[in-house]
Amino acid sequence: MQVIDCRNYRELLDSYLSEELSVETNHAMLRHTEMCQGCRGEMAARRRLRAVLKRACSTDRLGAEAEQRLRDCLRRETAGGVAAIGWGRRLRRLFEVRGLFHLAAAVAVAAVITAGIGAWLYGAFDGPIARPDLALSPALFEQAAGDHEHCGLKFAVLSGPFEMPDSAVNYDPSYAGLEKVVAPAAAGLELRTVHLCGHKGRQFAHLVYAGEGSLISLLVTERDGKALDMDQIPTDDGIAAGMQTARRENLSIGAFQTTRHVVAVVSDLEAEKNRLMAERLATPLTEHLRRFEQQTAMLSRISFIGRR
Amino acid sequence: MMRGESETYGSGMNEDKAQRLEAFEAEALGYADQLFRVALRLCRERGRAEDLVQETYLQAWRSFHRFELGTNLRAWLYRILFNVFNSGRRQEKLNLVPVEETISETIAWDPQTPQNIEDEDVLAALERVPRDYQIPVVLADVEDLSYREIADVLDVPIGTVMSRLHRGRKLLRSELTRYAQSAGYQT
Repeated sequence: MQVIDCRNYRELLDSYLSEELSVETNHAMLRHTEMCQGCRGEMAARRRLRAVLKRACSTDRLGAEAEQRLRDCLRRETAGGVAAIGWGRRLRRLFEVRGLFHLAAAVAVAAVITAGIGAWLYGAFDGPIARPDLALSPALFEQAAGDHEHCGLKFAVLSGPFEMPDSAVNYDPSYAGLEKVVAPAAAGLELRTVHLCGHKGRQFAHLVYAGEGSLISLLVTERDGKALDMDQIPTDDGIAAGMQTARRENLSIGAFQTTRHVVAVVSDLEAEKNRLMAERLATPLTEHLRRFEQQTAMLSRISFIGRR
Repeated sequence: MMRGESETYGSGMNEDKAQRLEAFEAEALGYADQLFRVALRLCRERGRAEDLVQETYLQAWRSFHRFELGTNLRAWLYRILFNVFNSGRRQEKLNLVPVEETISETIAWDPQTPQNIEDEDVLAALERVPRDYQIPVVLADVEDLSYREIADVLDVPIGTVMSRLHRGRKLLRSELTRYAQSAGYQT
């Protein structure tokens, strides 16, 4: 039979109160409790201490306002994740309406020229761009700067996740492993988060880095009509457009295009530093996206031919 | 929520997803206050604790499809909370690596529990316990997690949890005793 002295009793008492002891040790504790008045008093005191501790800590509550913000946040996240149509479906759709595609392409060329000239005239872009006809829309720069401000800066105090979540990969398969693609170029910067988020109706794959005394957002989004202020996106590779730079209040933005994506780097670094940062971070990413897009387009063609 | 009400969330959310979110909220949001209490102990500041809880729920929702209903949701949420916290500022990470601590030192020092204690005395004493010891004590004695659950949540061996609890509870009693003696209470 196990026997417990006062010293052992007090060592084991908290585990007894937490119901973490074996049956046999429990019995030994109970026997000692019956025998020893001093230890009975200690047990009562520790029970009281736990009750007081629990009561004192329980007054801290999340609060209705913060809970509502949490619910709103979950709804925004959910709405954003569903609005998406996968790239495979998009491409199949494109080829299914092939008859209309040529007409759309003609409209697109006209739109490109009109929008390009329009954007140039109205100063929609701040920095020079190799192909003015492929200028990104002012709205896109607003959205990218806004996302950096509303989402990116939050990661000055928070971090994670560090891998692209499934929700983002379901939204756009090319988003898988973006953080690994950028990792060599981002050496020396601290990755703070990788996730999917949205600002004013635009979805971004969002990577936040800390470095050079600044938080740096690397954003990837769809190169759709609204990104270029066009009804139909041009089918040629946007890499020819080179980097387009802009300033929004204290933020510098540098953006690249591929055929299907826009990659932007936003930070409060001065314009030239941000331009160098954009080149450094976005170059491997645009290369990765371009390869992915070519493979997807090829697979879609094969699948279309297979169905005929 | 009625079927079809999901449209009020905007055209981006379909009914199926709205129902899944509703199920997630019904299952998980009941633990929000508990998570917040621990977040507050970790962050020591209300706004940051709220952010930490929000990020915890966001991540939980993103991977809710991987969660098996019927398993320990509370422990799962706590685990995410600590993951999010520990992946943040490096200097703030919990350090739960076992410390060098001889048994004789531990046994020689066994403060008695004061008899008369007020809520604010306990909170002040708890605040003085180093956070690496304080958190396991809060998880066990306030939130009623088992030692096994705490080990899972903090991703450390159960032996580490036990030694931290042992030391943490003694530190709390010691702080309380010191306080009670200075206030002239019976100890």
